[in-house]
Amino acid sequence: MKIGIPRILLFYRYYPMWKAFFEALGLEVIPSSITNKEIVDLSIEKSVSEACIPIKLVYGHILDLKDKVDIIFLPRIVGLEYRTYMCPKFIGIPDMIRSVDLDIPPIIDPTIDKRNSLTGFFKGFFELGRFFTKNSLKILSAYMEGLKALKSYNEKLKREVTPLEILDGKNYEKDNFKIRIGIVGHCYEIYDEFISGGMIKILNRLGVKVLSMEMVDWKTILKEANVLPKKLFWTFGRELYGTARYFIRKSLVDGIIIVVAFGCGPDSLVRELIERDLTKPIDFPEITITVDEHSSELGLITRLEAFVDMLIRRK
Amino acid sequence: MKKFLGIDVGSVSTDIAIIDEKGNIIIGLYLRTAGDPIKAVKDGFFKIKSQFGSDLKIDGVGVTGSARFLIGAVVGADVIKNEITAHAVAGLHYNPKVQTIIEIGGQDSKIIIIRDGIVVDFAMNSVCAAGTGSFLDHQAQRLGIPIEEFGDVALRAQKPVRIAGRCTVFAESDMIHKQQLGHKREDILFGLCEALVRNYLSNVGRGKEILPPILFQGGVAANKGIKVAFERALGTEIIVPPYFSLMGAIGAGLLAQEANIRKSNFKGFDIVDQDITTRGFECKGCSNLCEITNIFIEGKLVARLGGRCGKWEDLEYNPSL
Repeated sequence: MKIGIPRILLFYRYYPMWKAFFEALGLEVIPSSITNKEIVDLSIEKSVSEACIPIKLVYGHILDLKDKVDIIFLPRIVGLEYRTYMCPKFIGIPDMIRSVDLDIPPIIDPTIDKRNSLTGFFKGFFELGRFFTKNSLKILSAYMEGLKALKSYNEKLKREVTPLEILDGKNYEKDNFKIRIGIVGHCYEIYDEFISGGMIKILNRLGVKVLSMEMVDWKTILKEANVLPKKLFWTFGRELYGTARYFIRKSLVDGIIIVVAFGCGPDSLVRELIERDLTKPIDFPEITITVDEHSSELGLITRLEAFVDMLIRRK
Repeated sequence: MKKFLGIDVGSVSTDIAIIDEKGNIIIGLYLRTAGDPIKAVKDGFFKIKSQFGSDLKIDGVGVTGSARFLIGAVVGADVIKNEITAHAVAGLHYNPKVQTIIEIGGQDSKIIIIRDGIVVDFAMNSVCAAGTGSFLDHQAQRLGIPIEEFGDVALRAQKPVRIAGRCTVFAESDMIHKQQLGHKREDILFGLCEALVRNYLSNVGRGKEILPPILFQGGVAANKGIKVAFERALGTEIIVPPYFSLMGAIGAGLLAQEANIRKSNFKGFDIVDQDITTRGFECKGCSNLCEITNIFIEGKLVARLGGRCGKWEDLEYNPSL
């Protein structure tokens, strides 16, 4: 049986784990294509217009898989951490997709919820495994395979390699960097080259080494966000704040770029927090890039180039 | 005396400046881009040629603005730089003490924060073009006022009305509404100026420390209404440099000078008599479907733009075309 995984949302965080898990259960895993114009056009046609661009792209990626697979994996990720939530659209996305008549293979959407129990992650995978086998031991061993794959993926990332180099076979420049910039944004915005406009490639060309949250230990990042007087509801918000604080506090970068999807409520708030608490008080260079459907690279290049010029002149 | 050419090709206007090595302006031209940047540059070159003859020697060319890659390829630029750096360089040249530059152009608006002669922060309008030149252009046209007179008319306002400046669409319907209620044209126009300034300060200027001296650059600086609205909102003087609309071009020229070019790539002013054409096509090499533009001078391919992967940059590469 062929199972399709859309190359969007938490793909760049968990794909190696999902792949190993499904393969251990004897499935063939097919990821959707790298976001292309057809996917974008289909997404905009089929999705709700109020959603942010990453959520819109789920539609196109699902349609991209339509004729290639027997079943589509689209988990309902409710929470990844004790008592914080994922974005509500992540929780609702399987239903959002089902509510549109797309004529697609069945969607399998296990609930992954770690908010109130330590075993929430495993429970989700167990529920998922039960779709394919009654053998609990087999599911458990597939889960272990998945964890192993995830661990080795995360170790690679910590050597400052981007997910795109590992998963999409992209090749980025390795040395000759004049400055370092930390990108503060979600993996599905930064590493989808349509959404980010190929930001990393552009920055590399300008002589910038790029760091992202993926290259730091996740728990370290979240701990970093614990300094906030009140815990943020959103895991993603905690990630952004924690990443920015970690990069700045450890002097890992010369400047940060905050990537915010147009229309994202929580991120617009967290961005403000980052500016007020972290960058403004110490006059740390920061720029916000808003991403949406626009496909012209020019505006992006102008902003990145000016930011890099500024960092070099300041140095 | 060395001469440097700076070109700023924006969405609404194309500005050309020739400066000497001290940064003094020898000639400055402000032209309408009118949807055809190549033609606008050619028109400018034609004027320069008829004034100075085609022997005018240029020691370096800098190009900025949203069509910088296209025009850079056409004229043979030595430096191609973004507008923010160009405006900052020009602003600093005009007033070395400047701490804030407000620049409002056709599609973009920016704020540049400078301390001790170094850009320390900047911002551009995000996804929205509300409050930029093209919107003012459109509204002036709708009210039947030449854009050149916009500012003077607005300054006659006695009781400016409040217009929602958050969004171009809302601002327009608000303006129509106020006009249908019988408010005077000048009151509406100044209300619009105030709305744009409000929007600029809360959007582009959000969280920025706006300290004097403040320079106001870009085409919109011609609008006295906006200048006054800024002065009232900020409670301080706003300086509009004499060449406010050419600052991008001047900055590009200064950048070309800074670059210390041995031999310029400049193709000369004679390109006005040459046949320059562009032909676009969609590359089907991968699913990105990049829109590639071929630029021909006298039928000869001189540059290609628009490819993401870089294979089209090699002009020899020509599969079945």
